[in-house]
Amino acid sequence: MTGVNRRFAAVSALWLVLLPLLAGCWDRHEINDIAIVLGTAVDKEGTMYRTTLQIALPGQMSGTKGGGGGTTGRKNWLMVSDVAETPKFASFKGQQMMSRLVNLSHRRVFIIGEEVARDGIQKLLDTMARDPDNRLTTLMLVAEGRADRVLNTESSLELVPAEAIREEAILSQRHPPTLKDVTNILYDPGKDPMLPCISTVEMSPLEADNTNKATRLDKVAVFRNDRLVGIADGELRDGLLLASGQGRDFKLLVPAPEGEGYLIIVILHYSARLKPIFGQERMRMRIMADGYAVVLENNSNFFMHRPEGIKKFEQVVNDTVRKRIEKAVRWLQEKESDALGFGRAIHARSPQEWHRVKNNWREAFSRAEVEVVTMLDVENFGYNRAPFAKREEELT
Amino acid sequence: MRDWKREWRRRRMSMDDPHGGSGREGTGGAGGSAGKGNGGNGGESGGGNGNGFSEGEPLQPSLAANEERLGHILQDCSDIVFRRFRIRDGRDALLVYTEGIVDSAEAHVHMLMPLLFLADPLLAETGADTAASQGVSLSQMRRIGSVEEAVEAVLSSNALLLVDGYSEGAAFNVKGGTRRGVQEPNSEVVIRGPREGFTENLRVNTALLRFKIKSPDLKMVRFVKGTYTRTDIVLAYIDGIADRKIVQEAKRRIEAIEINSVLESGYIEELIEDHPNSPFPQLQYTERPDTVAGQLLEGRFAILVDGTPFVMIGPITVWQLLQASEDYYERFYISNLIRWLRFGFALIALYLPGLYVAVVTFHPDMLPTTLLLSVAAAREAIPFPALVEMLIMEVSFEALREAGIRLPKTVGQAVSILGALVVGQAAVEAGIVSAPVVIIVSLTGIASFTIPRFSLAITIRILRFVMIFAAAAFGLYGLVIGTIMLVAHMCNLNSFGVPYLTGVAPFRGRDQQDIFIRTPWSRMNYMPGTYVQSRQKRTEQNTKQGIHESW
Repeated sequence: MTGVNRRFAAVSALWLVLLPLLAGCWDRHEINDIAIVLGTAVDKEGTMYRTTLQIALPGQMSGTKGGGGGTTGRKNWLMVSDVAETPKFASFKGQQMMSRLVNLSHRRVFIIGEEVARDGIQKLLDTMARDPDNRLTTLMLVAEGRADRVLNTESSLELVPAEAIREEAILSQRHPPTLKDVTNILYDPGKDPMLPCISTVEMSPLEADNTNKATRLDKVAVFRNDRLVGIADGELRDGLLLASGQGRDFKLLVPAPEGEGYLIIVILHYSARLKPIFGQERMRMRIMADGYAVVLENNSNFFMHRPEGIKKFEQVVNDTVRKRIEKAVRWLQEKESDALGFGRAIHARSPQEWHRVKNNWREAFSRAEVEVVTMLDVENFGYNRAPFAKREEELT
Repeated sequence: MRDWKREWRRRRMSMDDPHGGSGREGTGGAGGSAGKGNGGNGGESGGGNGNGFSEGEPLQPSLAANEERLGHILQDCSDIVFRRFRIRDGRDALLVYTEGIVDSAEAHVHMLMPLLFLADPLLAETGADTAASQGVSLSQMRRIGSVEEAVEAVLSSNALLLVDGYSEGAAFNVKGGTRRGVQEPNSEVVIRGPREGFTENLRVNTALLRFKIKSPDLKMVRFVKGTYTRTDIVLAYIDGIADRKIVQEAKRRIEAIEINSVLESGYIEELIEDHPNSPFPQLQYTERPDTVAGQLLEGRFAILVDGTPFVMIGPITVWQLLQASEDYYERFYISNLIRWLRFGFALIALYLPGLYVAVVTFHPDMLPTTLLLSVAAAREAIPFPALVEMLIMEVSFEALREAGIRLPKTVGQAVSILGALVVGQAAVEAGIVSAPVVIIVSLTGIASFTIPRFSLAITIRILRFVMIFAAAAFGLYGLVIGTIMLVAHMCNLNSFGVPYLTGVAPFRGRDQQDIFIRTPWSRMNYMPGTYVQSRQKRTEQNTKQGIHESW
């Protein structure tokens, strides 16, 4: 090795040693120095936005004790909120009240107040794409009424309300829409968002005090473009979930085909497909629902265990599902909200057809003729022939 | 006096160039010059031996002169016995041996007794060695012509017989003395497999190998190294399996060594390895004869050093260091599973602390939320940054381990209790370190114990700290950079010309039978290719199962 080479090697080694020092760990944040945001709620106050951040207080959770927080009297979370012209800036103002840096990477839920949703959610989404800290798999929900109230509702089952809301959303739908999904849908003229809608209710009537509040996820919010146009509950929500195939272990109360009372079924392996039919003057859309139903309870005096009884019951199940879906679709057509993605289905099946109708899509959609085909089978209705502990003579 | 080091460095430089300097001028071994400088650089080594004798000084015909000469050289050595006696035929004779390392009972029965009482008087005419060979009932005999040889023979457990009137002596090997017997090796315990281990006695060690490989192809070349220690070194290999070039190179490197003392095989290891500055071991050491035999049969060589039970094996690959001898004795299902477990835990031992530091300080977004919350809860009251916390625990764990190794077993338990209670529990309760860090450090410690070869475990221990620092400076990016540099370095390494990652880089399909999986013996048909002259099969035919085909 010559002298020059040796010197070169020494100098480059020195450089290599110095490089890490120059970098200076600029991105380093100790866990003790970040505020972990678990949920965000956005509401409207006049023309201004109020953003509320739910921040975990890990010290209160004292990790080792596990779930069941809230028994100590102090809450496991902190609500920080402020008002500003845009929701993002409101959260920046919230930062000014905190000693720790806001970290959005663990946000579980993003809850939109009803008023904001009616005003349009596009304004909330821009920052989501720009700020790399945002987690795109954050679930988006609509709150009935004010979002911060919902987000602050203590759940005794989870450490933090945001986590409870997220779990509820996952239980309620097969694929609750994430931030990424919503953005995708907004870009697509052939589909409108449909978000779970959450509200605060009394959990049980036993104690009248405030701790007994709970969040309840039994509604669905439907959008036209980025604006909330309707909140569906009850049978309407059933219909929407069934039509979109989003129902997860969907339980349905079905009247007995004969006699009195009700039966409960759970629908498994369920799928709903949209099939556009071309060639007619009016646009036609067929919704094909497939799956099988299992009887969970027979609370009637209907005797199923005859071949004609089974047929009748299957008929009733199919009718019920079909009626729910038809009702939901009619409601959507009234609202001119293509939450089921008819346009997307047409686009996928026949792009030319889509290009023909897309400019006038809202109107075409509201006039479309929808046909619902249900092909549900009933299985596993149980080997005890009569309802349990009921003599067969009492049955019809 | 570090001349031998300088000399060695010069030799190493010339060794790197295969066509360059011969590097053979110093043949200072094999019973030759007894440590007095050999030729060219005479006079500088062996200082301190005040009784200098010139090279090749012959023995005198006069017994008195010889006795005086030897007595002068060996003066103040109280363990040397000079026994003057008269052979039955009337000649004077002198028996010289070192007490303790010679089996004196044997020397008495087979040398003194026959010479004193039984020797044929007529033998006087013929010469010392004949007299000895006729009169002494011992098998190993060597003729001694010079003073130097005589001293060397006496000091290496021979009984030297000098007879008046002859300028030639006879040395009989009556190796004796007490050394540790063959015991179960402590450092490599197995559930299934031979329980014998090497000892400090070289000849016992070679015998242990010979017991296993009864083939004339098992060669054992002897070297003597160490100006003062005159340590026997044996290079063992199987002719016909081992690559001749590699064996040749090993011989050359061992011959080129000049060193004052060889007390352990580690002395030799550092002097003959290819990359002395690499943290990775390039020779494997083991206490188990079965491991050595297995490696010899796969075409590697072994270096046995007298005075230590640790035998070195080379050339090696890194995969070999992750394999235990039991892998080959247990049935292949469990061998494979345990091998995978070991690979996984080797990675844990290397990366886990670094990964924790990186994730906690740079990428909290990568943890599942609930895990992040528990980590955050545990870290809430900790006054140190994650790096410092991790270093505190890692360093104290290293100290604990070091203390545990050195202490006697009874005290060791007390240390481990202290360590577990004080360092672990109390530190967590006092809020100085967080519980996840304690968990990670102990998991890492356990993981590093799963590595079967201690030398590789040490390497991983060192590199773990490098990874921690890389992670603390750059996060996962730093870990990736560290890994790239590590892999580049390992690709660059070789052991006696064999790439360190042989089998994977360079990739060899046939080697896959014994790297990540251990093929059942009935399918293990090929030698690990790189070591073998021709890419040959393990047997002429494939290994056959003992059961009948139709079963």
